[in-house]
Amino acid sequence: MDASADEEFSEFMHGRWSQLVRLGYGLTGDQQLAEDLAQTAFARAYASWSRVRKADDPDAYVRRMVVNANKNRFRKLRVSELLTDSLPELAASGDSASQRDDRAMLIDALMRLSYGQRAAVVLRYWLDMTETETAVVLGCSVGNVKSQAARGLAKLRATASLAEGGLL
Amino acid sequence: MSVQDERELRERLGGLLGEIEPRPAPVFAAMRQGRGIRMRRWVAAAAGLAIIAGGVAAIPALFGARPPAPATHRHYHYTESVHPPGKNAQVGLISSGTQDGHQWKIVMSGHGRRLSVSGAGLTQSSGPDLSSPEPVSATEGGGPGPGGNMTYVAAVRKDVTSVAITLAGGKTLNLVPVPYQGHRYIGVVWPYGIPVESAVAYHGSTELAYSVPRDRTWLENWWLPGQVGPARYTGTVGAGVTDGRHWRYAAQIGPWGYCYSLNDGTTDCLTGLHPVELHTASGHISPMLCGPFQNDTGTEPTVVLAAAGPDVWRVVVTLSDGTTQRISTVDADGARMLALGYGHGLKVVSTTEFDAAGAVVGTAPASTLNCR
Repeated sequence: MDASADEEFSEFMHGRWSQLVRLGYGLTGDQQLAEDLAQTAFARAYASWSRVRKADDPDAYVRRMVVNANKNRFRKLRVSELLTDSLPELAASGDSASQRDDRAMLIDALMRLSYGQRAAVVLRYWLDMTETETAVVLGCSVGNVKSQAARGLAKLRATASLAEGGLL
Repeated sequence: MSVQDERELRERLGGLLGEIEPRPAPVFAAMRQGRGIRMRRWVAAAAGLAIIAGGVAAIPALFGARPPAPATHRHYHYTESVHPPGKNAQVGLISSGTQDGHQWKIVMSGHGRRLSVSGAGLTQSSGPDLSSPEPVSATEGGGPGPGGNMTYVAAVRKDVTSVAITLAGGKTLNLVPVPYQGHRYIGVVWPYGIPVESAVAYHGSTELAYSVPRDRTWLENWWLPGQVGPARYTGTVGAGVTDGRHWRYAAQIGPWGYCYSLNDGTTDCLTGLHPVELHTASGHISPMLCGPFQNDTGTEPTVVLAAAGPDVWRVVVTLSDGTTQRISTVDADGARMLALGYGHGLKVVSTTEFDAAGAVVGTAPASTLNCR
């Protein structure tokens, strides 16, 4: 790949890095993992850069790669995930205790959604994507996005801890 | 759902999400990783051409059934050094060194599930598997490619006092474990393409374990002295065309361990586990590897590799669109195995297992062969 393409990719990645990490965070509830997913997505985009740069919507392309990279986490038998009742300790980032509690409560509720519901909620309500854009990223129909998002939202609202905490 | 609900949800989620502060974009690491992906694609394509050009005769050599030429037939030019951290080194520094004049270092950070690794050439930053009972438990690392590096980071058991990795050309890298957050780690960087001749873990001068590198590169499993890994076996477990994508799962078993390669460039190895240990009952199926076929187009078929009970010779799989697939199991080094591909958006509804005589020996719940 020539220098100008590298420069173009660098600009592309800088402009979308934060958004993709946030998407990954919404899907996994783990910032470290989210950054790994985003980096993997950009690496795959770089590997196919000549095709990605010509895509109708390169943003949708890399978002989809993040979603797929997250699915691929489950490939390896040797990498197992232990589901627990409590969340891992969050990194101290100067947040107030109540902010950390709110975030933990919300992430906990999100992680209890099915993968499809979680992805639909994150894309629709965190990244403000339209139903059509969400359907493109998830590779499903608009109707499916509607139902997944609605069910996800209903489950979130039914989560007692969120209601008690005044989050929803 | 009212609009107000949506707005409220957006505000709450957006506010919380906005608090996430990602690290700076790792552009160069992503580029290096991307070059590695391109290189693996190129190697896979070249391997395919070699088979076409060379016919069946090329296959054993390709998969290593014939021992590779001794390293003494080639000369490798590289300089390599590795140093343990000094007294006043930064917290988390595991090792540092030089490779062909270029400095590198490996640094651990975080703790618990958030443990991460950074270092020269490292493209995957999750920490090693700390639950593994093996003497040396590596995390995947490395950004192989022309001019790239192999980065090896591993957690070691408490009784391991050193690990010696010998590269072709005779250079031995002696790695001393460094404590961090209650565990001990080793790390090293070497030039990709330089074969690994041997890897041994020691307690003092006593050998605790050794590893036979797969493709003379990847340290997958560690065996006790005197323990011998499985005999070499390569063969196709299953192949097909799903959603227009050709997929093929091949067993790549040998002294390095039990490894399975998909033609999307991924290889997964079981940690010292023979596939027959995965199932407990006759007529049973145990999924081993499961996930979407890797490509960049978005409509990936799901490909599943599974171990089957010793009496399972055929499996009939019913999918959510009503279609069925009849899959014969194959004997891969003493384990009956199968591979299945199904299209994007489909799920397995049920499976029925048959023995050699055609009698039903079991049925599996719908979720058995679904990836999630």
